[in-house]
Amino acid sequence: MASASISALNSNSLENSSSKNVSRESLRMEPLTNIPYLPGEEKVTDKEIIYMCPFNGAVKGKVNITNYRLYFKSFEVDPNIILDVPLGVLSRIEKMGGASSRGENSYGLEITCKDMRSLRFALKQEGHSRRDIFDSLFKYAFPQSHNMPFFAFLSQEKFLENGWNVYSPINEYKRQGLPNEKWRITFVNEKYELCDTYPTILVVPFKASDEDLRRVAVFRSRGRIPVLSWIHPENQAVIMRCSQPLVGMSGKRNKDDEKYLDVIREANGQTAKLIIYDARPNVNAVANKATGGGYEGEDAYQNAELIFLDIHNIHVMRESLKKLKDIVYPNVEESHWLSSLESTHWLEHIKLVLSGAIQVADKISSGNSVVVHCSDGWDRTAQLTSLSMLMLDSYFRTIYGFEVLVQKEWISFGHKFSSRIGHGDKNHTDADRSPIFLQFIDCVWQMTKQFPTAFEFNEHFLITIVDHLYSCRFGTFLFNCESVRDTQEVKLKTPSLWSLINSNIEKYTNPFYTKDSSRVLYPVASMRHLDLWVNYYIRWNPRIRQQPQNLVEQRYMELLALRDQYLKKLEELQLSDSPRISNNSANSPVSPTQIVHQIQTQF
Amino acid sequence: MRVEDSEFLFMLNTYNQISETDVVFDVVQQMAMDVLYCKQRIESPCFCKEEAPPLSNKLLGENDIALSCVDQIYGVHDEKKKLIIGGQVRNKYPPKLLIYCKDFRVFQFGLSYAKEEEAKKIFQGIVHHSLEPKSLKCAFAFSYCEKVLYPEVSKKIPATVMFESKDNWKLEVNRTRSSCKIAHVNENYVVSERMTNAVCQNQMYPVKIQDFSSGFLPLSDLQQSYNKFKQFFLIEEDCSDLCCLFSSLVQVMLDPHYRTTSGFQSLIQKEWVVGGHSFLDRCNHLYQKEKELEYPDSQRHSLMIPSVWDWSLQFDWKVQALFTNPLYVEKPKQDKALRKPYRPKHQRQFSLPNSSSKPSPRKSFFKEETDNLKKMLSGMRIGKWINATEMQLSATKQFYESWQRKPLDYHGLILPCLDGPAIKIWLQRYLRWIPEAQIFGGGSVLTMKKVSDLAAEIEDLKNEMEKMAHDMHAGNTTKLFFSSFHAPTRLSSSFPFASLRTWSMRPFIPTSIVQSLGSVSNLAEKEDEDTEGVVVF
Repeated sequence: MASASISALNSNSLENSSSKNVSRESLRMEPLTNIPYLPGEEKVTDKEIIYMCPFNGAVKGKVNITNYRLYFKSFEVDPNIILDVPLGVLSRIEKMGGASSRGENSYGLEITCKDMRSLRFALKQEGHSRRDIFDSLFKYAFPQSHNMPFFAFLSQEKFLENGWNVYSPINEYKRQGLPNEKWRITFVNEKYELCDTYPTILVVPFKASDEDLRRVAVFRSRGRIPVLSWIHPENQAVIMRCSQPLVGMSGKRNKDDEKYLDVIREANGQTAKLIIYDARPNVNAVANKATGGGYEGEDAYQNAELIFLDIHNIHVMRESLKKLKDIVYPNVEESHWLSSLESTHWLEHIKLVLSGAIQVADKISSGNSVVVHCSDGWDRTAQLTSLSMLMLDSYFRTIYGFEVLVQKEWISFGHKFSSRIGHGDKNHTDADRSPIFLQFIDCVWQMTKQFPTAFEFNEHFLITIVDHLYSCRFGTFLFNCESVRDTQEVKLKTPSLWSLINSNIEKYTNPFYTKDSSRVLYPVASMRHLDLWVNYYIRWNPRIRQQPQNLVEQRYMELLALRDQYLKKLEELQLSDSPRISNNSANSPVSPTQIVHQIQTQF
Repeated sequence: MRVEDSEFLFMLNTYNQISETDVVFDVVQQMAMDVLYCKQRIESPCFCKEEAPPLSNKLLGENDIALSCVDQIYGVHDEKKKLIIGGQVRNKYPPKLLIYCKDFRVFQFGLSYAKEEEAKKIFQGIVHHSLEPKSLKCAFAFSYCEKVLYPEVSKKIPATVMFESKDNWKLEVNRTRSSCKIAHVNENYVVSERMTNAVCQNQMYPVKIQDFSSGFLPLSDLQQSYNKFKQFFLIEEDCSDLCCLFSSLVQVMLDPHYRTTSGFQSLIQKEWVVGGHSFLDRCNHLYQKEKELEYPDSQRHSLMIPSVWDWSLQFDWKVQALFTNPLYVEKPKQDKALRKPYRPKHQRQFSLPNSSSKPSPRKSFFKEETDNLKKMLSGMRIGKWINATEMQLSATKQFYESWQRKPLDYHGLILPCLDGPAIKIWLQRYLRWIPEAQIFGGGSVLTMKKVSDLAAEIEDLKNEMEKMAHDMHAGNTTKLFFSSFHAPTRLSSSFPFASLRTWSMRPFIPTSIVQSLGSVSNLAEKEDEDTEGVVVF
């Protein structure tokens, strides 16, 4: 079992999942061209083309465009270069050079991807060789701009597991011990009437009636009222999430909102002051008053304490990632690597997000309830609640638990995946795009680095999630909120990413995982311990591969296989030693499994 | 016996130090402890000892400072720090002392509660023994050697080759099957006081004394040659820094033997200790400002100064298990006939100097793949190295990429990746004394523990099997040290250096959160959402 997956431990998830280690049930091979096709995937066009590889120079080959992917294969066998890019990853496609351009390979296409790479292709300048391929790419990479469905809706993929069953809100709240005498489940949003970006099932204070909730909704941006995300099993302290209060320039107050927050504070009986974490920098929160928003004023909320966490907005994060790409692709900045990295501020932002989450987790474990919000409560708020839940609750550090966490805090509570990623949309300059979810996964990766035995999933799991965040092969991350997903019947018409993962779970399992249910994990959110996620951001560079952790993992798998070999041999020896056992091994008093068990328990 | 010899002897026996772990550097700095100091160690009064750090040293307690490890001392008067310079201390003493150690620790001592006479004595004692020039004779090692009883050296571990004698060099020449000859031009240290008496002239290793021809030459010629040799390394005065550095690093990359414990120790002996690195100056052990080192006329062979490689003098055998990397894969003992070197069909030629010539038919123990690098090393003149052009740099890059395309062989050539993201600060060493920098219950030590446990389990199974197969008693299992720490919560990223008494469940939350974002500040002020209709871009 262990040895089999050694070869799969490669961080180049997309390359692997679709070219080498494909699961039998999800793929069929087209016999002639040897191109992996997914069920439901159809060929659109192909063409001989030159790939301007930044690492190997110009490479002649053939490109195949399907309704799901761009697949390039070089004619040369050594080095054999394969590009396998889901069209959902494409962010921008541009023509470069005109029919009269001079110079070799100056006529072609330039493609910018959402996963940190850019691809350049050169074509012959005769006929309209470029138009056909450009049009096909443009159409199938941006189906939403052409009134076409996402590939996820065309996919015929079948899996052993149904990932849509992973998350059931009722079951998750039940796991947390909810409802109880202080907290109730409300169906007030069943038809998305209270808040169209929230899920239908919400947990609120027992003392607050549905009528109270409606009155609070008036005072919270987009009706995103404070609702429960997580409750501490012992001290009953809660993490509540919401959007900013609609205070405005005039400093409006709302008695229902004030009362509601106090009801939340009282619920666990030991919160003297409800801590409100406003994820934004102070100045931004003040500036928001101009557009009708704002923050909880001291006078209005006497039993609360407001703390700003200084996390910047989506635009800052987008620019930061852009800068990061500039220094890692195609070439890694050589002369001033560390100062270049610092100037992107990427790790600085990671630090602020993690440090905010640590503060939330710390308050909760000391028994103090908290409220978390930013402006609308779907970007920074989701980062903070989900990361602090990851620190507090070891369930979320398992594979299924993490899937539940993403499904709950991100997907169901309306992180605007469609707008942030720009699924199938040609408008690559859209200011709504931002790598907020990637940043969250990066924070999770930082935690797995610091606590290498605390997470059931491995790095490959995280990379797979981010890859399919863009690929549009699964319905999981499509659309902005549950109400739209319901209308689009996503669960019925598309496969779930968790189906892929859960059908082949060993591939995503961390061999070092040690179950330890009681611990709160506090990562060190200092620059000293934050690293650039090289295996993700710089994975396209062939010079930089095989990070030490993967080597350690590989060696560990080898040792596990070796141990199993010894166990097996020992078993055989024991069987042959004892004639009584070998004669009737099935019913023998000492069965092989028992021997194995005995040996294992010695340690 | 010549006076000069003793310096060499001193280095040979005192500073012969380094292993794969961080331990090495500490011992380099600490071995020259002063006798006096050793008799009256400073016990820090503000700490109560709860638990010794896992890597505990028999000679030095957790809060002991070897005098040779002291880097700087500050006196603190009314919150003002003043550097204390040796030799200038009169009757006064500061109420507070800040001691900065060479191993990055900082200690603070208050003297205000001590009796005046005692405080004065302590202060003057510390300053005298750590900041004032002293003679080599005072180095602790000389006194230590009179007392130490040699523990029995474990027969299991291959001995460290000290490279003190011709025989040592002969062994090495045989091991590498190289065609070099041993010159004894330096038998009486006429050529170099620093270098050993036997020098290996070699094609493979960076040459020691290149211009020597065989046999003896007139002394003046030798001196001249030596000066010429020195000129190759214009950067430094006596070629004992970069030369040691490069030659030992190259050998670690080329020769898997030097990646074993005894091999690495031997390499340090060969390239640094015997190779004449000026440990004394570089570590400033004697605190002598001018380089007028006096050499005590010790008796070269009658003194048995303990070697650092006798780890048992400092560490329990149990603790020594920490020096072992559980991930290490020993070279498999394969049937030679079965082994074929990997050769891809369409192998790209290395476009490196001298690579066009045919590989030597004689099989050396080095892998075929290293041939080109070896040629490059031996073929290039040292002068060229110094004036390496862009072209040569790109050749190195290409060499790296060609190497990278081949399957990784841990017992062949290994090259480190030099790109920015691959080079990291050695946190486990440099931050180990900083409690806030520790990840409680985390760090790579956790995976190492898992690997260690598994390795021990495999060892047990192996023994079990041998017992069953041959019906005899197998040897005791060597449980690795990691295994004694059961709960992962007991480990931290500072393992094995810090003790666990600083354990705390509360997180460390960094302050100073506000930051300037420079050019993106206009974005920072923007709304998160483009609220209904207000599209800025």
